[in-house]
Amino acid sequence: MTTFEGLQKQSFRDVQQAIVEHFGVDSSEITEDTSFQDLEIDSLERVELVVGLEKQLGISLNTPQVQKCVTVGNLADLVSSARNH
Amino acid sequence: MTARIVVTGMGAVSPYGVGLDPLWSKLMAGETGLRALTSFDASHVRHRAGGQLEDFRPEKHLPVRLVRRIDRFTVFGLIAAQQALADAGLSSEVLEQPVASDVPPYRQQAAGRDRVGITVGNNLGGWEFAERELGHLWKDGPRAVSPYMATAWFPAAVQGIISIQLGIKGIGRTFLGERASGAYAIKHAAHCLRQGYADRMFAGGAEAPFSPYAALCYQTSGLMSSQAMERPTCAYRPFDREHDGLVAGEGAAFLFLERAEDAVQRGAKIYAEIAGWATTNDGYDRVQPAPDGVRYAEAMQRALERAGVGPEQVDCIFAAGSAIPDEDLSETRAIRLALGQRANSVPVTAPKSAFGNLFGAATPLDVVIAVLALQHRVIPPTLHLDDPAPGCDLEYVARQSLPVSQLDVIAVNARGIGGSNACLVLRRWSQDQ
Repeated sequence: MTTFEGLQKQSFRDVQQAIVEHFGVDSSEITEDTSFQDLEIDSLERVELVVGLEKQLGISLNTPQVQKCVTVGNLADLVSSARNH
Repeated sequence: MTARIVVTGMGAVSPYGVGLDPLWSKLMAGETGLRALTSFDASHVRHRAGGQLEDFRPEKHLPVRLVRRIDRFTVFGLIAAQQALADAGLSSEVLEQPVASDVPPYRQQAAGRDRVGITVGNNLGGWEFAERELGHLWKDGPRAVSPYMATAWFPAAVQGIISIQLGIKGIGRTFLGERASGAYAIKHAAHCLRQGYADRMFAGGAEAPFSPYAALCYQTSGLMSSQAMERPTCAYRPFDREHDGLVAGEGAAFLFLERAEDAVQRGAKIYAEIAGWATTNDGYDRVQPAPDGVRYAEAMQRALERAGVGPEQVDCIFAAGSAIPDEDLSETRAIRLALGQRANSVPVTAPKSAFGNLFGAATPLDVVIAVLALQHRVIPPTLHLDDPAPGCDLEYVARQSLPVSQLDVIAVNARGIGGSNACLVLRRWSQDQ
């Protein structure tokens, strides 16, 4: 059975991998505390990233909440919550 | 004294490839850039040929992350503008620097990027992006549509992206005048420089016409050649007995323009002077230009007057050369009206027959070719002009390029749908003019 902690780690890895694939960023530069601003990912790119994650993981993310995410970890948390529903 | 406007940088993406070298060398070799279309299934249209870039890899020229956000026509435009800037011996950082210091009042406030402007000609916008994303909308719903759709498809996208990438903060305008769009853009850039509204201007055009919906629109316009199915490589035949419409091409061309005094002061290489320009409108029909060619002739006459050039001094005319039978006839008529006796002997050419009509980028690319022609003293040929049509009775430079001893003034014509007429006059640069 997947623990909540395990799910969170998996969600972070999924977000990290999506960022690598979409924006060509080195995975070593992406931690939970890394901000989207640091990665120079603008609001449109964030939409692109989220739509890709939704498709890949079969989940639905709340757009206003996505826009409030500051760090990669914030987005990974949203992905975890969406997976629990 | 009125400021003179000069070309100090040029960039081109043509159906022959990226850069000025393949463009000029393949034109001189008489190589056709037209072929059967392969970039999309063109079975629903008759005009299945075009000047299509092959083996073109945007990521060789631009960051992948950027390429994903912009349409093909913007990719072409950005590459051409970057080339023009580099060709002018400048970099984006140098645009920060003001032009000459001991300057008239209007330039005392000039301090950088707000004095650099851009004008762009385009016709279609970004249909590669738009058609793909509309497909996503209908098939998978709104969430599947690219978030870049809004900023990628519209005609002013080229102007916006180039401004962002090169840090241009002055005048920015996009002109939609069908095949004359690019001529309007260059004319406006020259005007802004002469009036002192800007110190440096990028002027050009970009077009990516090969997509199923855009192709269908062109077919219903009735402007396109139908013989593309039988002979795709030679379907574009301006002034020829077998002319039946134009053939599209894709690409972009940009000029870097500045006032001659500034170019001289910074020691820039000066390609040529844009000595005259004018536009007129026929106000006649939604599609057809006026058959009498009177307003078109007036555009040529006014451009020559602005340049201080008489008909006898015109060494060559780059015709709009649509290959639409009625337009070929009315352009012939207009050239005769504008140049009088000189029309009997002035060489007339339409090099675009070799690679296609680039619509919004057609005139900027013509100007690039005309500038190279001035440099080499060679008039590029009108390919596929084997036997002039009745009534098309000018001195065409057909099939083969023509080396000439005297080539100092070239008039470049442009004519868009319904008779949006323009003429630009290029002159060999001489400080003592």
